[in-house]
Order: sequence, then structure tokens, then C-alpha cells
Amino acid sequence: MNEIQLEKNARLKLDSDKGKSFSLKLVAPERGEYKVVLTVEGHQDVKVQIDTCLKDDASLTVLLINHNEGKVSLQENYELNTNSRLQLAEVQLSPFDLELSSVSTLQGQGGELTTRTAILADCRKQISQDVYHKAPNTTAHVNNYGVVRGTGRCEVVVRNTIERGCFRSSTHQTSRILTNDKTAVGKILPILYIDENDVQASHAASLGQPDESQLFYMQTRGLSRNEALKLIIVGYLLPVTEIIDDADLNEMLRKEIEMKVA
Amino acid sequence: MATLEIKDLHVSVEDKEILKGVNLTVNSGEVHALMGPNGNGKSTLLMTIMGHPKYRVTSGSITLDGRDVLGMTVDERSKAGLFIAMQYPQEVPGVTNSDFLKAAVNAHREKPIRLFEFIRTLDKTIADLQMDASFAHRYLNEGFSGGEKKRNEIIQMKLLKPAIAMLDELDSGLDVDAIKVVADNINEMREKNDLGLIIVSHYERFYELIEPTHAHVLVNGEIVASGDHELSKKIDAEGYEWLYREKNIRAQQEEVRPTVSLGTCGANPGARYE
Repeated sequence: MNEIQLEKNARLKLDSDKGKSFSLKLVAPERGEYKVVLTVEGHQDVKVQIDTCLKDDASLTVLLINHNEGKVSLQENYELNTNSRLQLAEVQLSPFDLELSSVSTLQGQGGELTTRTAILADCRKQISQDVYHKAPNTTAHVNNYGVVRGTGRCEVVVRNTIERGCFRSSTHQTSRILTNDKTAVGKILPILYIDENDVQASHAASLGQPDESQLFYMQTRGLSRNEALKLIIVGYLLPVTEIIDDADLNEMLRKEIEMKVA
Repeated sequence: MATLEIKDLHVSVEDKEILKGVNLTVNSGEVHALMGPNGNGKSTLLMTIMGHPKYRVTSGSITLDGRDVLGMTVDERSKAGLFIAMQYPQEVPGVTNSDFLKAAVNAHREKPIRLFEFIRTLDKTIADLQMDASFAHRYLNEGFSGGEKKRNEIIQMKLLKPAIAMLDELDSGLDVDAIKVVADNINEMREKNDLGLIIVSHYERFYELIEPTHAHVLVNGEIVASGDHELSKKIDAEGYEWLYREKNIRAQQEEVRPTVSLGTCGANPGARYE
């Protein structure tokens, strides 16, 4: 496994035309602020494992974009130590199958995790996310927003676990899937395992077709049904950019989302 | 000069007849106050004119400058010059006001508006409504107060410049100062654009700010009285009882929907996901 000590801004590219599997270990050293943009590209099926360790007081923002034109099996492990902060944005718009499994472990007190995943599913996309609170005063926010089209299928399973003794921790998850066609299938399994009393925990999940009242409202302003639908779908996926504090990157992502939705 | 003409309009919702032969003509520059007790068809009339799929027209006609409105899709009605400011504007998370408004403005134009021109016009309109400049970048109506939502409806109206606008209880949710701001903007559009208006409101104070040229009372799906501003003043002072006695009619009682219980939480105690 390649171990990479992160510097302030890093760009990593994994090319499936150059290998069938990749293993990376990313280390965010103590007390630093880091930003990583990681893209998966190429035309072949590929397996990717990324282990990321945030040392004490490290702050890391990760933008993971999947452009691969082939199936991607992605295993992500994140270890957050004392007072570390991870912001993770995942852009999964590729029209190929995806198996994504992530495990985030809040190992040290004061750790903070925020994830936001945008999923466009024209095929089969399976997302499984586990968050373990293993220290007091830890915080997690997991957000998934998916749009399923045609005969696509999107399954999202999120498990947040607060272990005994992890008092004053808070864990929250939101998963929303918009099914854009009658043949599209969406499935959400929101799970909370809580073994401590002095905590905050919540889950929210919604699954369904576009809101007809919203569509009507937008049509009364002159938008056709398709134009209104497109705006709603882009609006569903676009907030993934909120995590990224980089205007150029956000504009690039915005264009990509608009192009994929069109 | 635009003319909206409604003739003998009958409208049903789920086989229940709500409008029972409404006749109304609205010309540019006219302000029609539409009054009546709740649940008697005012919002139904406005939503039907705009083409809400829930409302089924069983007979009658609606034309705008002689063109058949009922044959138009909702967006075509907007492009033809109709506008509705809704009683409960929808929230659309993820879609910014700016993106939505630009798309709406472009839908009304042959060539897309230049970005600089759009931003300049939007900024001015936001300032006219005394809203914070950050409003453009917030998601459409999401987290807006009642008053902000109503001001946003007028921002949209000013940008789209309709020929005939329908305001459905626009004044509800607005404080005294905000009502004045909104009314000033509507009056400005009347003067500059010769805007025709149908205004649904229960409150005379709104009609004092936007003086109606016509007033109508809709009871049980029919317009039972028409007049000028004096009619709305009389209703504000005396209520509807005198009218019921005079016309020997009774108002439709507003339907109170029964409370539906979803039962207890579906969680199975002790269940574990495997």
C-alpha cells in the first residue's frame, strides 16, 4: 500500500487503464489543514482501497470524483484522532456500477466528520456507510442525495454507532433519493445503534418521485416540466459542492452535474 | 391592452363541483378585488386560470386576448402573460433563487438574458422589495419567513412582467411595513406596465393601498355581487351576513379535514440490522 503524507493541497488521480486495483494510505499530519482532490478515471473495472488517517488536530477536506467508465468497487476507511476534522464530498455521477463501502472511526475526543455524497444512478449503485463513535464529544453528519433514472437502482445503507462511554457525542444522518422514472428503484436503510444516554442522534430518509407541487410552482413561472425537473435534480445534487471551499472546483462540479443531468 | 375573459366557468375537484358558472372580465390596468368566505372557490378560480391539474374544468371558457387559455400548458399560460402569486409558495431546496429566476426570465425570452443585465435587474428588484442582497443566493423559499416568501412572489412578478397577475392572499404573513413595500411595488407595475390584477384578500387595509376598480364576492362557487371599492369597504365593515340575507343564499362551510393518525413508530424494539 502506498503511504502518502499529505501536503497542503494534493491532487491524486487513479487511472483504471493503468491498473485493476489501487491501495492508498493517506496521512494528514498533526495540526495541519489539508485538501485532497482524488479522481478515479479510465475505462476499466477497478477496485480502490483508500485508508485515511487524520492525526490529532488535523483538518482534512476530501473531494472524491468518480469519472471512471467502468465498474468501481471502492473501500474507504477513515480514522479520526483527537480534535481532527474531516469533510468529505463524493461525486458519484458515472453511468457505471458502483459498490461503495466506507467505515469512519471517530477514535479521539472532539473528532468531527461531515460527509456529503451526490449520486446519479442510471445503473446499479450500492452505498454502505458505517460511522463508529469510539470517543466522547465526537460529531458526525452523514448526508446522501441520490437521483435514480431509467432502470437504475440505488441502495443506501447508513449505520451510525455510538458506543458506551462516548457521552456528549452527536450523530446524524440524512439520505434522500429521488426516483425519476417508474422503473427506477431506490432503497434507503437508516440505522442508529446507540449505547450511551447522553448523546444526540437523528436519522432522516426520504424516497420518492419529484414533488408535483414544486413542479407546478416552477411551471407557473414559465418553465416547461422538463426544465423544472432538471433544475430540481441539479438542485438535489449540487449542494455536494457546499463542502468544498474552492470557487473554481465548485464551478467545474456544477458544470459536470448540469451536463450529466441534461 | 390585455383582456382576460372567463365565461360560465364550472370547475370540479374529485367530482365535487366548486365553481358553478363564474363570469369575470379583467382588462389591463383594472384591479379586481375578489372576496368571499373561506372555502367558497376564490383560490380554485385562480388555480384553474393558471392550470393546476387538480382542478377539472367541466364547462365554460377562459381566454386571454381571445386565445384559449384552457388549451395551454401551465408554462404557456405564464408565457402568454398570466401570473399567480401563491398563498403558500413552494420551497425548492437546492435550487437558488438566482438560478430559478434566470431560468424563468429566459423562458419568457427568445434569446437568453445577458448575465450582467440579469444580475443588475435582479439586484435592483431585490432592493426595491427591501430584501437583503444575499437573498439571490438562498435556496428558493427554503427557510424563508412568511413575509419573505410573499416578497419573493413580487420579485418574480416584477422580473416576469405579466399582463394579468393574480394575488392569492399575498398580504397574509406580511407585517404593516412590508405590506406597504409590496403594495408600492404593485402600484408601480400598474402605472408602468398597465398591469391588470385579481386580488384575493380578506383585509380592507390591503385594498386601501391598492385601490380596486372592481370588487366581487364569490359565494358557493358563484359571483353573487359585483361593484367597486365601496363593496369591499362595506364587507369589511359589516361582514357577509347582509349579503346572504339580501340574496337569500348560504355560504359553503370550509371543509375541515379529519386528522389522520399514522399510528405508532414502526421501529421494532431490539431489532438489529444484519
